Amino acid sequence: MLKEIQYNSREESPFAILFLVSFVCLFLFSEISHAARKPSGNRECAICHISWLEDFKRLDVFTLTPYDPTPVTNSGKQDVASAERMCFSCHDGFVMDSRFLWATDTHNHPVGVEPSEDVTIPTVDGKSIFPLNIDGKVYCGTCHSAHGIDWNAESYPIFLRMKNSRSSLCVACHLNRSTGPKEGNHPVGKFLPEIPENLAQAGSMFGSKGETTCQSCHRVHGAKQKKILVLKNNKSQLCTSCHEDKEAVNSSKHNLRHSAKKARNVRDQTVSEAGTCSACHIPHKAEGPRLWSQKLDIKKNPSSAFCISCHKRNGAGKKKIVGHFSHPVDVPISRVDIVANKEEWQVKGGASKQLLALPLFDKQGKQVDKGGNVGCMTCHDPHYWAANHESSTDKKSFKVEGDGSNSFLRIANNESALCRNCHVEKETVMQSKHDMKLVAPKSKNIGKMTAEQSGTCSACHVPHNGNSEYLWARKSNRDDSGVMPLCVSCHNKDGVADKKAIGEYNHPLQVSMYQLETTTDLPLFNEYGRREKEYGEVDCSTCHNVHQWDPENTSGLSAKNVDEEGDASNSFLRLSAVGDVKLCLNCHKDKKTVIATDHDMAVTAIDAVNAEGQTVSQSGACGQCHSIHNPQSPLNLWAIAPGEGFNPIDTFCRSCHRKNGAGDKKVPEYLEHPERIVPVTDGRLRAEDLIQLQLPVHTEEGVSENVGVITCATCHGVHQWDAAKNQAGDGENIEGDARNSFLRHSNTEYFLCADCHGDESLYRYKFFHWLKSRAN
Amino acid sequence: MPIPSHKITHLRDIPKKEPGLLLLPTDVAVYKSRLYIVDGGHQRIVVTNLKGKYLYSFGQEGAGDGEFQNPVGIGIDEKGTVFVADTSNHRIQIFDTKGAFKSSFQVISEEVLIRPIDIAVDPNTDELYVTGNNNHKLMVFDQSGKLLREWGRNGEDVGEFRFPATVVVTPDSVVAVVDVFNTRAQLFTGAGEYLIEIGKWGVLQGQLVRPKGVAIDNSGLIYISDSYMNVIQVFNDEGKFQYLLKEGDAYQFETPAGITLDKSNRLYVAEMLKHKVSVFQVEK
Repeated sequence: MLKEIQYNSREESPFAILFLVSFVCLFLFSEISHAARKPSGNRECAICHISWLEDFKRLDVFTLTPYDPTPVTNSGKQDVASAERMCFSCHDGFVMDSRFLWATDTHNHPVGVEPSEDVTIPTVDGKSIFPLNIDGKVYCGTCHSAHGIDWNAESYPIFLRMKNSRSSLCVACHLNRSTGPKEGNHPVGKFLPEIPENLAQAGSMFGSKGETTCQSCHRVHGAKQKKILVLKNNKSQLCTSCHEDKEAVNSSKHNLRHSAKKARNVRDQTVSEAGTCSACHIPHKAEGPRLWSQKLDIKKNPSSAFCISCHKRNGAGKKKIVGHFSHPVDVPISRVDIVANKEEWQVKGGASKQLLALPLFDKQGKQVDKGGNVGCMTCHDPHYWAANHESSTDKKSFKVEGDGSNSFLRIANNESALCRNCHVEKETVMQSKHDMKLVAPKSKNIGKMTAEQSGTCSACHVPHNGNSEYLWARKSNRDDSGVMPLCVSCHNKDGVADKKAIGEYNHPLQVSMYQLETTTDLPLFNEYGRREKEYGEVDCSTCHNVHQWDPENTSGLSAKNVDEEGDASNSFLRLSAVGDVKLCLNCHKDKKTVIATDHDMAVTAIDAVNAEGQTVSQSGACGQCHSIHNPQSPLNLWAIAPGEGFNPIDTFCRSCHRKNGAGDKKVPEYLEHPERIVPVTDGRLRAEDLIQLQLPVHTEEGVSENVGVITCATCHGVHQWDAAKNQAGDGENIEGDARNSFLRHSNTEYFLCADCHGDESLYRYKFFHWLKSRAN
Repeated sequence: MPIPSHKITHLRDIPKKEPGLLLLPTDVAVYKSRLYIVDGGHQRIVVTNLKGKYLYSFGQEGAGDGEFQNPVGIGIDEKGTVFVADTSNHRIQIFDTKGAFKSSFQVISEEVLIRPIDIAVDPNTDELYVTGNNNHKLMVFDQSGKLLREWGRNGEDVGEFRFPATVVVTPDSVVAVVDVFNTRAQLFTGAGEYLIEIGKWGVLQGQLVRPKGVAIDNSGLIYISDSYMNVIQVFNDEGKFQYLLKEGDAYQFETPAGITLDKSNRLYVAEMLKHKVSVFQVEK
C-alpha cells in the first residue's frame, strides 16, 4: 500500500537532520576542520554556520564567499547561519520546499523591519524571547530557531521559539491584536461548526477543535494576499468565508463601491483597498464593539451610532441621513405594548397576532434577548438590501432608489408588514379610506413614493426625514401648531383628499379643557401635536383616530368599500357620534339633555336630513344641527340651511321650524320679539337671587352678549326640554307647554316672560302674540 | 594565489517581459532551438526560443493531467519528449515538444510515494533517471514508469546521498548526480556503478556549500552551480577543479540552481531569486 512519507522519523526527516545538526553543534563545535567526509560535528554545524570554517582565517587562500564575522550568540545578533540566503539555500525546493516564502507573488510575515509600536516583544529576565537581528530588525530567527525545540504539539512543533498553540506565539508579540471584540479585535478561539473548505485549501489553520486562530485568517508565510491574508479580501472573500450569511452585502448599496467608493474608514482605507466589509468593520483596532471601522459616539446614540457614523452630514451615507424627524430609537419596545423575547414577540394582553422577533438592544446598544430598545437594526439588516434576501449583481440596480421591498429592511414593507409588526394597533388603517393604495394609488409622499411602493403607512409616515412630527410624509405647514396641519396636508382643496377638504369653518381647535374647567376622555394635544393630558388642547385627533375607520370595529381591515360615504358612526371617529353620541358628549357634557327630546330628530323627524343629506341615523343627534366641518354657517357650526329671521340665531331655529321643515309643526307665526328692543342683561342689574336665571341676548351677528336683541334662544335652551329636569328626554314626541318646551326657565318666581316683564307679562304676551292685537 | 577562472560573456536575461516572467525558476533544458524553463513559482513550464523570445507555456497549479504542484526539474530526450519532475504530486509528467500532455507515472519506491527532484534521459537506452528527495536514491524507470533499478540511501558514503538534486546523463551514459548535503556530485555508470565524486565541503575553490545544478559539455567538463556561494565551478572528468566561470571581474551569480549547455556552448543558468534565466557564452 502506498503511503506518503510522514516526517516522523528523525533519521529521514530534513527537520530531524537540522535537529541533529543543532544538537551536535552544541557539543562539538570546538574542532573545526574542513573537507571532512566522515560524519563530523564540525561540518554538520557548519552546514549553516559556515563562518566557523577555519579557511576563512587563512591568508594563503581565496574563499568563494565572503567571511561574515558577525558572531552567533543567543543575544539576538544575526549570523549568516540565520540569514535569508542561508535559509533559501536549502528551502529552495531541492532539499525542502519553501519556495512560497520567496515567491514575489506571496506575502510573508515582515522581516528586515523594526518592530512597530504596536508590537510588544516579551522578555524573560530582561532578555527578549524573540531576538532581533543586529540592526534591531525582525528576521527569520526572531521566531525560528534551527536549534529546534520539540514542543510536542500538534502542528509546527519545532523550529519555533515558542509553542504556537491557539495563536500563543502570535499573541506573544501582537498582544493588542488579541484582546477581543470589546477592544476592537476579531475574536480567536471561536468554534466554527465546520471549517470552510476554501479556507482549508488556502492554508488556514484552526485549533484542534476547529476554533479560530490568528492563522485562520493570516498565513505567516506564503500568503497570497497582502497583510498575509490567506485569501484575497478585496470583496471580503475572506470575511464571508466564515460569515457567509453576510456575503449578500456585496450586492447591496452597502457595498460602497457602488455608493461611496472614495469613502474611507478609520484606517484611511477604501473598500477597493480593504474589502467590502471594511467600510464598517475591521478586524483589528476597531472602534468599539462590532469591530466598527468608523468613528462612533456610542454614549450619545447607543443603538444607532453605528449607522449614524456614515449616515450623517459629510458621511459616506450622507445621501441617506435620517433627518430631524426620524423614527425614534433607544425607546423600549414595551411602549407599543409588545412583550419581546429573542425568539418570539407577543402583543401585551395575549393578542394572537403572529409577530416576528426583531433585534432589540440595551442602553449600551448591545443586542438583548429579552425586552430592549428599538434601534436602527431593529428594522434594518445592513447586510441584505432586499427583504427577501434576493440579490442582484446588476450595477443598474445599485442606482435605483429603494422602496419598501428592500432598503435593507428586515421585513418587506410594501404591505407595511414591518410597521405593523410593532404598531399592531394601527393595522386597522389597512384597507380603510386612509389606505392610499385604495384611495389615491398615484399619490406620492415626500419621498416620491406611492403607497404601493413603500407601504400604506408610508403615505403619511416616513421613518426618516419626516416633514414634521409624526414622521409626517406629506408637505405640511409647519408654522401651524398641533395635529391639524398634518391632516390638512391632504384634506385641502388641492390635496389628495380634496373631496374631504376641511373648509374655512370647523369645530374649533386649540380649545383648552383646562381653561374651560372641564374634562374629556378624548386625547388632547400640545402645540407639537403630541398628546398632553391636562393642559392639552382639542385637535383633529381628539375626535379622529386616523388609523381606524369604525370605532366599533377593532378587528382591522375595516372599510369594505372605500367608495361608501361615511357617517357619524365611523369616519375615523374615536367614538360613535350616532345613537347616544358618545363622541360629542364626551366634551359637551351639558348637551346630553338633548338626546331623546323633540330636538333629537330620532324622536321627531327621522327622515329629516341636514345640509349634507344625512338623516339622524347617519349624522347622530348633534349632527342634524351642527356640522363639524364645512357647516352652513360658522356660527354654532350650523348644519342646515338657515331659515328666515332678523337674527342669525332665529334663522337657525327657522331652518327647521318653518313650513315643510323638520319642525314645521312647531312654527310660531308671530315669534319674533320686537327687534328694536335691546335689553341689557348685565347681571349686576338683576336681583342677586336671579342672576343664575339670566337670559341670553344676542348681537346682530348672533353672538351672545350682555347687550343684544332678543332671539329665540333668549327664551329657549334648545338642548334641554325641561329646564327643571337636567336629563335627556324619554324618547317620545310629546306636546309641550310653558313648563318645558325647551324654555329656559320653568320654575322662576313668575315664569319666563316675567323674568323680564314682570307683571306686564301677560298683557304683553297677549298683545304681541295675538294676531289681531299684534302691533306691526 | 588567485582562483583560476574562465571567461564567460553574458548574452541575455530571460524573460524580457510578460507573459514569460518567471518566479523562482529551478531548472532549464534545451531541445533544438527551444529553451524549457521550470517556472516553479507559477507552476508551469515556460518555453522560449534560444534568444529568449517567449513562445508558450504549459501547466498550472493542480493535480490533474498537465497540472503541477511545485515542479523542480526537467529533462528532454532526443525526440523532444519533455519530462517534468512534478515534485509535490509525486510523479513524472510527460509532454510532447509543444507541451501537450502525453502521460505521467507516480514515482514510487518501496511502496512509498517519492518526491522527484529532477529527471534525465539516457540517450542510449531512453531510461529515465530520477532523483528522490525523501528516499535519497537515484531511481531508474523505463518510459512507462516501471522502476528498473535504484541505488543509494541516506548517508555520506560513496553511493549514498543526502538530498540528491539535479541529474544529467552524458551521451555515453555516465550519470552525474548532485548530492546537496554531501556537497558533491557523484558520477555513476548507468548500471549504478560508482565512478568518482566531484567537489568537497568548504568555501575554497573546488569546494561546495550548496551544489544544485550540473551540466557536462561536449569536452567532458563538468559544471556545478552552488546556490549559496553563487558560483559555477568547472571540473574535469576526473573531478579536478579547473576554474571558476567569470564575466569580467564578476564571478557571482544569484542563487544559481539548474544549469544546462547547448551545442554552441551557451550556458543557461536558472537564477532563482533573480527570477530569471541568464544566458552566457562560454568562451572556448
